[in-house]
Formats: sequence, structure tokens, C-alpha cells
Amino acid sequence: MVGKINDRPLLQGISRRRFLTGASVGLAAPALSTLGSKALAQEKEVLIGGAVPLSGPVAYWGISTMQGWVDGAAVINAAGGIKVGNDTYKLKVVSYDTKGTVADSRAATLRLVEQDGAKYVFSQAAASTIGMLQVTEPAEVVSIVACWGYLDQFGKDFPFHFRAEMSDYEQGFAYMPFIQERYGKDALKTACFIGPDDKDGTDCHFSYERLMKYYDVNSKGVEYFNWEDTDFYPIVTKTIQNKPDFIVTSPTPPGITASIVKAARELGFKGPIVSPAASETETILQVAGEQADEVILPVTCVDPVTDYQKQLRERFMQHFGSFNALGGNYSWWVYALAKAFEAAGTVDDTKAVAAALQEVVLEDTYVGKVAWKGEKSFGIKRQAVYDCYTTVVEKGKARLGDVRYPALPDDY
Amino acid sequence: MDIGLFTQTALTAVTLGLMYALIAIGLTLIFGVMRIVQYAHGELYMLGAYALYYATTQLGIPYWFSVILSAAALFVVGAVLQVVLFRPLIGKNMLYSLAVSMGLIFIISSGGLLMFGTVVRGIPSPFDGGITMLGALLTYERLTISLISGALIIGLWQFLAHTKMGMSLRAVSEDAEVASLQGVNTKRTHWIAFGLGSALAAIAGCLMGTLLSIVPTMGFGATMKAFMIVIMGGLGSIPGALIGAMILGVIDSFGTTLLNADIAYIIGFSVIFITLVIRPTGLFGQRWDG
Repeated sequence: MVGKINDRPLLQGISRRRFLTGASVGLAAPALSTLGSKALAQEKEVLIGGAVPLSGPVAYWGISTMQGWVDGAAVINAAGGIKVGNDTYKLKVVSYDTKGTVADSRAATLRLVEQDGAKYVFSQAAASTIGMLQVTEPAEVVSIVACWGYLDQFGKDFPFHFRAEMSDYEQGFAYMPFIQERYGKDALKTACFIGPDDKDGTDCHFSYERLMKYYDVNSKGVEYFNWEDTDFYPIVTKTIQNKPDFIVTSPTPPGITASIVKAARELGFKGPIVSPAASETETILQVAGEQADEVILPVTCVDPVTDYQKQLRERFMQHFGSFNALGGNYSWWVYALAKAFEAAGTVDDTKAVAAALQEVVLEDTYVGKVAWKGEKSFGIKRQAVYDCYTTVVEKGKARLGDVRYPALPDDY
Repeated sequence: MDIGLFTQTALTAVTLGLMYALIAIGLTLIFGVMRIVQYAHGELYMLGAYALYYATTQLGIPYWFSVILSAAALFVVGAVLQVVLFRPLIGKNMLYSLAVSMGLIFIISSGGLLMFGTVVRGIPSPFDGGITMLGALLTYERLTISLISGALIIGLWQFLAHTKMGMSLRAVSEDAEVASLQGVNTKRTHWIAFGLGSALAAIAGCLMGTLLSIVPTMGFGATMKAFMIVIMGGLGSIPGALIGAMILGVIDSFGTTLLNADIAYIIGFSVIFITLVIRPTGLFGQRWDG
């Protein structure tokens, strides 16, 4: 259970003081150790490094990722830490900014691994992940990331590398059944894809094509946009000329999704628009208003429903001043790693921790049930699969439309 | 291509061209008067959009009044930037002003990320609906933006042609030294031109910010477009900026709709290269190096 470490409840009444105390344990630990207390001497720490974009265009994702780790570490520390053998470990999270570039991510990871001694690193988005992997895999450092594309750098040849965010492919096995139920299978026979003109876009298009084939949907067109594009009228005009029953746009951030939705509706497209990467509704509603109706946002739980989700949002609001669905989506990673430490009985042997991590199953997280899958697809269980909270926009308002665990094919 | 698709693509081309023109004329005005390429023009466009966002959503100020406030605020910002940063560089190598404006890009966009956050925001539009013609839709929002862009361009043209200040600006753009000898206050002319160019960027940011969405890093793309247009039309030429913007609008709209977005980009830059090979000063430009 995520809710307990060492059988102590984690989520009840953690004050700001306790949270900050837990989060800053790494700073306090060296000073405390000089006291020479035997009890304190047995309390150790595990360094978890973040090589994440904290500035630049993808900082929104990077900051949300970091917040998930900081929050989880504080909760775990406040509950007494992680019991591994006879030792108790507290978690220390240190993050460096990758600016969303490969080179800066490589430099940040080198600093974490070589200088700080981190054996566990998390990252976010493709460029930072690729830079990080250049360091972590040769050094046998466990990495946990959100990255959809670059499947050639994922799988059994990268045994320390875990992808903790479902890509649009895994999400598809939740949102496709949902929209088929919602609109009727016969109403969704054709689709078009809109994505960015980079490797993320082409990788996502590859996943989309596999998904459409699986669900017997005829893909009628693909359009790629430049990140510098300001007006999506031309691309959307061309897309809807193909008369698709629905449009999938991925991986497009909320602002671009909003622009695509607005253009599509103004140009007369009335079908569903699925955006597996937007993970946010505020911008879409601000830009497109009621025109955003029938926008489908998988893995987007903007309005917490379970007690766990509500408590997490409350902590984020209290400690970071804001909360978004992405922060929630990334909040479980630290608990999975903590559980792997306990199961492996070590924090030093990364091979043992990786082996334990792939077996971790969490039942009650912000994204519901989580397990590592993908053995048949990637030769190793390194892809997280979890309950897909799908938000739909109706009458200008976002609401939770569906929750289901992706019905992945047998050969996944 | 059926008539509906053609009309829609053509309407998009015209509206895109006028929106591009609004961003580009500020840039070309500043170059024409001061002989500097204000690479941070897109950052002022971004600040204009955020000023509108906060004025409308946080302060509850009506939309059009907020646009005016944003333009006025960015006029002041532009004038201050000219006086503090660019005035000392007048007459010096253009690389100095290039370095300053490049630095401003990073300062303003990074500062924007710190101040406004990394979340993409949307500005609620005051428009709803549109008109249909020949099977194509022109929303009132795009129609209004196009009309305002056209009116501002014509207004600026008239201002430069018929007012004393406009003539001063033109005189300084022709030859600052001679204009000064004729009694034109060149210092004042410079900060007014810079302020005016910045205010136009702010208005463009407001109008396009409503149409699309806003983020602190949105300025770079706008600068790229504006720079392409200004180079093609001729540095310092307002008619050139308008024609260049319309050409780019046509290429972007028809190129993307008929081919794809990447090919449209390639065609856009190819047209600029061809223009510069045939007319090195751009369509309406004059030689600035002689």
C-alpha cells in the first residue's frame, strides 16, 4: 500500500513544519550526526536526484515532477523513513535544471551521479531523458522518467530505465473503449492525427497508428505542426477536409491543444478531439470555452475524487501553492521506489532495487492502481500502467468521465 | 481544391497576413528610425499579451480598455528601454545593439517564466460567432483582428505622412544628422519611435493572445516571423512589411493546407532568399550600408 510505510499512516495531518523538516532532512543530517548519538548514527539517507527541466518551455512538466518527489519524500520522512534491514533511511531529493535540453540534462545527471553520488535519478520529457540515459545506464543508476518516444532507447537493453508515465499508446487502451462506449463504435470509424514535427510527434503517430489498427479505425490523415506555429487554421483546415470521425492530437501541451480545438470547432468540426498529453483543462476552457465540448483528456484527473487524491492536492496547495493533474500523476513514483528498497533489502545494490521495482504494485495512488508491464513488447517490465482517469468537457465544463485500467492486448 | 476550401484558405491567408503585419510594422518602424534590429520585439509582444491577461482576468478591466492600457504600458517600457539601453549605442557598430536586444530576449522571457509561471494561459475572447461566405467561415474575432491590424497600419502610414511628428520620424529615418540640423529633436524622435513600435507589438500580443494562448516563451516565434517579413519587405519600410506579411500569410496558409507545415516553412524562407538575391534591399527597402 502506498498509504503506509513501516505500517505508519502517511497522509494524516502533516504540518508545514513537519513537511519542511522532512524535505530538508539532507541538510540537517550532517549537523545532527556530529552529536554522536547512536540512534541518529543509524539513521541514513538515500539521495534521489532530479535531472528535470525547471526552466524553459517544458518547465511545467519538470516542476510538477519534482514536486511529486519532494512531496512524497517529505511524507515518507515524516512517517519515520524507510526501514531496510536494520537501518532506517530518509530520502533526500536534489534537483538540477536541464532546461529541457539533452546537453544540460547530461551535465545535470553527471553532477548528480559523479559528484553527489546519486544512484536513483528521475527525469522528465524526451530531451532530458535522452541526456540522462547517457549517464545513468553505463553507471547502473536506476532512472524513473516520463518519456513517450525514443522507444529504441527503452526496454531490455536499458535494464535500469523505468518509464513511469503511460504513453499515448497505453492510454489508448483506456480512452478508445471509453469513447467507443460514449459515441458508439460505428460513429468512430475514421480518425486523423495532429502532432509536432519532431521525434516525439512521429513516435506518437506510430503509436496512434498501432492503436487505430488494433481498434479497426481507419486513419485518414496525419499533420505535423512546427512548434513556432502561431495559427492552427491551415493545419486544421487540411485535417478536417479528410472528414474524420475524431481527431487525436499528441503530444500537444494544453495551449496548443486549446488552439487546435478552437480552430477545429470554428471550422465546423463537431467530433471528439482526444488529447493524451494536455493533462490540463483550464487553458483549454479559457481559450476555447464551450467550443471545447467533447474534448477528451485521458490521464487527466483535474478534480480529485478519492481521499488520497484530495489529501495530495491539499498538501500540494499548502506547500507549493498550486496543484495540477500532472503533479498528481507523478506523485506515486517515490512510493514505488521506497517499496522497492524495502523489498530488495538494500538501497545500494541498484540491480536488486531495479529487480524489486519491476514487481512493485501500488493499489491506492493518485492514478489508482499501478503496475509495471510491457514484458512482451519491450522484453522487460519497465513501463508503468495505471488507472486512466479521463476527463471530458461538456457544456464548457470539465468533469471526470471515466476511470478504467487499460485493457492492453495479450502481446503487450 | 473546392471553392469552400479555397475560400477558407484564402481567408486564413489574409487574416494571417494582417496579423503578421501588425507584429512586423513595429519592428520595421524601430529599424527605420534607429537603425537597430530589435530582436526582443517578440518579448514585448509577449508582455503586451500578459498585460491584457492580468488586466482582464485579475483586475476585471474591460477587454478593449485593457488593450489600450497594455499598449500604453508597453509604449512606456519601449521608451525607457530606448533611453536607458539603446540611446548610448547610437552611432556605434550595429553589433552592440544586436547584443543588447539578444540579451533582452533572455532577460524578459526568463523573467516572464519567473513572474508569470510556466503554465500556458488563455485570454477569454469578447467575440462569438462569425459570417459564412462561399462555404467558408470568418469568425468575428478574426475579422475584428484583421480590421484593427489594417486600420493601425493605415493609421501609422497616415501619421508618418501627414503629421509633424510623423514627418520628424521620416526625416530621422532618412538622415538623422540632417534632420537634427533642420531642428528635429532626434532624441525625442528615437524614444517615440521605440515606444510606438513596442506599443504596436503589445497590441499584436493582445489580439493574437486572445485568438491563441499565451506563455512567456511565445515571443521568439513572433520575432522570427516579424524578422522574416521585414527582411523580405525591406528593412524600415512599412509598405514592405505589409506586403511581406501578406506573402508569408499566403505561403503559410496555402502551403500548409495543400502540402504541409514544414514545406510551407521551406517555401517561406526560399521566397525570402530569392527576393534577396534579386533585390538585396528587400521589396521596398533602401540601402542602409552606404
